Amino acid sequence: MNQVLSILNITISFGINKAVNNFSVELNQGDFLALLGANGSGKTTILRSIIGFIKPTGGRITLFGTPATTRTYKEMRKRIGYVPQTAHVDFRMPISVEEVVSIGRYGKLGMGKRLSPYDKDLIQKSMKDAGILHLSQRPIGHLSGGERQKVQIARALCQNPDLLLLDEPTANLDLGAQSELIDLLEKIYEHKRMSILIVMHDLQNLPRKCNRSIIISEGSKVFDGKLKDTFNIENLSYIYGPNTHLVLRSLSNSME
Amino acid sequence: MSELLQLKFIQHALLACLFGGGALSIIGVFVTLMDIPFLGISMSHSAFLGAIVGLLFGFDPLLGAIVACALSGILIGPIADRANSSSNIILAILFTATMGLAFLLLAFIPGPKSEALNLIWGSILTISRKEIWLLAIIFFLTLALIISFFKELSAVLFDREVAASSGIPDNIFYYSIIFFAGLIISGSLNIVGGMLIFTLLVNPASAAYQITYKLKIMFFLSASFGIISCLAGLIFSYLFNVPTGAVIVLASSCIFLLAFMLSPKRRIAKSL
Repeated sequence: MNQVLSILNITISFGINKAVNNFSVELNQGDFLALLGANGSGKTTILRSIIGFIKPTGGRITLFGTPATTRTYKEMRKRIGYVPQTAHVDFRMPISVEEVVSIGRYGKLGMGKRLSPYDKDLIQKSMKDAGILHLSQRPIGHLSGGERQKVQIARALCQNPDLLLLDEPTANLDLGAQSELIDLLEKIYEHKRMSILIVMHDLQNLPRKCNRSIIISEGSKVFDGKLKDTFNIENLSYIYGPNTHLVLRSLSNSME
Repeated sequence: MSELLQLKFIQHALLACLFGGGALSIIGVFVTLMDIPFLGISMSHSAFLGAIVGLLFGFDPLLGAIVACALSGILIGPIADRANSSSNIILAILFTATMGLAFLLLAFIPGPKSEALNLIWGSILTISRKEIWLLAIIFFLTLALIISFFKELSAVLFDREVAASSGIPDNIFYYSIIFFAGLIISGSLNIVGGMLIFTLLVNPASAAYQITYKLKIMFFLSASFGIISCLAGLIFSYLFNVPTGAVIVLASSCIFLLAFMLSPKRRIAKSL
């Protein structure tokens, strides 16, 4: 089994605050891993350290068998599809959906080079896979939250990534858009079998195709196992605190 | 009118409008979309400081202005990133620091200080052949860079992290935009002067933004609005004997107002 990601004992501190404490994980080709935890538990910090936006204060990250350093990230990022939280992206830019999706090809092309017919086909295919082909000429600012998230997923897919990183893709979406997006992710995983690491805090939206989950609490790993073993009071209390009983009841209703 | 065009200083001024107004309005698209309008006024004061250093130590004030702007352009991006602060905050600090230092050094220049003060107010009608060449080089260089690296620049403008995650060296492009803005501002100081230069950086691009949803068209419209504003300023100031810089600013503001009134974006925002 090809190893895609290996995180070994990373620690990430912001001043005196330790956001991530001695965290380790390995991800093989075809794994679908959910990183779960309450707000501020360190999930997004771990995700951002994988893509190289945050430098760990200790430990080691290895991507595709190569240690991740400032120098090696340039090439590694071409193999990683990254979908940030929509709230962090400014959508006022005068740019169409197709142009945003095309950004996924730019890094692979090299500086100053133009899109080839192969790139253009891949852009169209990614938009079709994400169900946004009919929106291709729309300005990005005219889309709904769910549609914008699909555009970001299409952009990441168009990189033909070996590893897809998603940071709370269903945050700020209504229930309909949330389930539509999760269906899309399951379909993508089913067809492409790439490795996926998804950060979530809402377990009700967890894709059923996830074959593993990790729960983070105050920067430390408190659970690592199969998805079906995740849903117990002890684990959920790390995510939902005193409201665990209510969530567990709602989760068991939705599972029936 | 044909008599007017025969005059050498008018020919120079027209070329300055084309190259300076065009270059400033093109780089203004970056300034507007990156939300850093302070760049204009900060860079102008860096240029002012550089010009004063030039006068004080006996070298060309224009060279001093260009070097100071280039240095500021190199420093702003990395400092803002490392200080984990908005570029606007770093620009505001740079603005006050360079202004303070410039006025301190101004006191040491003996005799009249009009050459240095001209850089604040500008004087398009006294622009020299050397300055026209400089503007033309900067204009074509900017155009060539934007055409060559349009896809990388549009990705960085959309979102630096998204660009970086796709493997685009976002820092190089982000810092280059600020550096080139510095070069264009220092080269264009003689058109409207430092105090008014950021009008040409902000108004034409903001007017273009109101009208279009396409980045390429925004660049084209912004450059056109910038050139039209400069030409209007030149013609009106000649005909009615009023200050050129002030008319350029008013013309670009009127274009923005018109674009805002006709904007499809405003209608959409109102209907929401």
